[in-house]
Amino acid sequence: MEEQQPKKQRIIEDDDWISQLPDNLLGIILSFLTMREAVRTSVLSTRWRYLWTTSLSNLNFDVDNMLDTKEYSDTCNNTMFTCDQLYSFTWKRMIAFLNSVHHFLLHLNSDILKVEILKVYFNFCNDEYGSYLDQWIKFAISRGIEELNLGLLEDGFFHALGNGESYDFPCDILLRDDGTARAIRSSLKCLRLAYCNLATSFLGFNTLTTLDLMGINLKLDENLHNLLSNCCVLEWLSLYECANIEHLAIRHPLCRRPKYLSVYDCFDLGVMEINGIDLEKFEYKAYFTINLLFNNVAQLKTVYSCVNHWRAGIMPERLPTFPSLKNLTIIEIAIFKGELLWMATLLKVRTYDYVEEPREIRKPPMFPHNHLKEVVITGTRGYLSKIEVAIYLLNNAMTLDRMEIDPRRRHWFCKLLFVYNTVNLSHSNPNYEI
Amino acid sequence: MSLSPSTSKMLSLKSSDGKVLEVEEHVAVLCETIKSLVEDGCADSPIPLANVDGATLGNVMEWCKKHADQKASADDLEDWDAEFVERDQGELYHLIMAANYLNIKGLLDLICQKVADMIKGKHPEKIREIFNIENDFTPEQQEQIRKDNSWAFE
Repeated sequence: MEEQQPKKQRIIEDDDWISQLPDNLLGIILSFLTMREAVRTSVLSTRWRYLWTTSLSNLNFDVDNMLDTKEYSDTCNNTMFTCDQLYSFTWKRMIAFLNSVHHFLLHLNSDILKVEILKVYFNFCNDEYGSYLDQWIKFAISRGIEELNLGLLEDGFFHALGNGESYDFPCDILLRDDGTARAIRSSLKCLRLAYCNLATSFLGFNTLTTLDLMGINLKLDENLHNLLSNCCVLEWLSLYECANIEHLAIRHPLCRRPKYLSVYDCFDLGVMEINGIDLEKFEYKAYFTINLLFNNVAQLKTVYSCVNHWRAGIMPERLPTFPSLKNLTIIEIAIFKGELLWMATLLKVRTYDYVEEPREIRKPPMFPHNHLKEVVITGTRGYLSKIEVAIYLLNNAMTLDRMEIDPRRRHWFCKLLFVYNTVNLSHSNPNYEI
Repeated sequence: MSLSPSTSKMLSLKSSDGKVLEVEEHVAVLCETIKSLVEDGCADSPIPLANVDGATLGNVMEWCKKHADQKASADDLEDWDAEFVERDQGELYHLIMAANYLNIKGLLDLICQKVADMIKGKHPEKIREIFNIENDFTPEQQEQIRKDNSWAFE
């Protein structure tokens, strides 16, 4: 047997072995190429001619996949452009992009193809070309899409083209066109939107389990309420720099499934009200005081919090109690004052106000905490207040399994970096530790 | 049911050319095909694998053994995988077919990625040369394809 092997392999190697692979395996190979490169394989031989038209089920419409990156990617960072040059370059780039996607879709074998994911990552910061985007979404929905991911402002790009009006996400695409105000039967489970408006009917959102919104203008507070009332099976909700949300309320029975909630720098947000839902993980970052009204969240086990104490008044008057809390990660809390105060208030302990100055480490208050198992404190650089936090926890957290004290400052990007190609962070797994 | 190395029993796998390979169960079950046989209680000894020759089966099990090792770190595995795929094309072909037949997604993706890397950034003429693909188009057909998909060829 051993002796036969080299002979057999030599035959294979002289052969066109790759063309003998079954379609599904060639499809996997094509999926590891950019879509541009996958399309170029059509010219290899008759075996390859239509392969890409049936095998690409994840559609990625971004610069790397659709444009000659040498021509369009490098120059977009060219700071030597005059205003006119930049305008004309951006316009040319937009037309080339629309043209590529148009021709790609034209030759796709849409009769047999099932589209699983559609991602668009391109500067669509104005509504002028929105009708094209509408068509792509419509096509993908009709092909059974499960995940729709629109990032409409590229990293490092700015509004240089169009009327400055953001794209309106076409919620009515998920409605029947017979005027009955009922949703179509869609298989959309995951919707990730960045930098557009979302403010009409949300009737078709009842199949969503994941909703990620970044830089979204909801226009009116009640739109969020309507949105959440329609997302009846939602499990994963993330709001990142979303404007015009003042009062976020997630209550049973409106919406009871969410297990994961992330709220990151929603500047207008003043009140967050969570009542009677099965929330397990909660993370938030805020620069201004948010009143947290949490009731009946017995399942909540993990909290990631990033609160900047540089600004006065960040601490809400009343803080909720988290009876089942097991993991608490506090990221970049204040350097100069307030950690112990904040920590103690969170854990329902009384303590004192103080300012950081040379002094003895104070004896921490006693308040047994019987559920806390894991604490991660980063950015600790020997400030007394941080040492006090650690001592306080060591003395009071009776069931503590692990305390990590890390002098490095870790930057928290939340879960939503899906629009930034340059930063390789897992955004799909809500379980990773920051 | 968890299959830890300490309690794992041995399975016999029989290749298409009659070679029998003894493999620890917790290693072999990385192949979904074998795992379902084990779970259904159909793992007759030896398990006949009609589509995989002995040399390829040995390579596949070497990969499975490394990836079943819980002590191996992600970085370690990545380096090891990079070396593992440095093979001639004949072996790559057999590994893809075997990974598909035995249903090992991690290995299948690894080899397909390797083949994709051989295609990446190359002109069609060069790709044909690497894989001995015969160009059976007429010049007119070829021109038409380029025209239809001109956005990708610009």
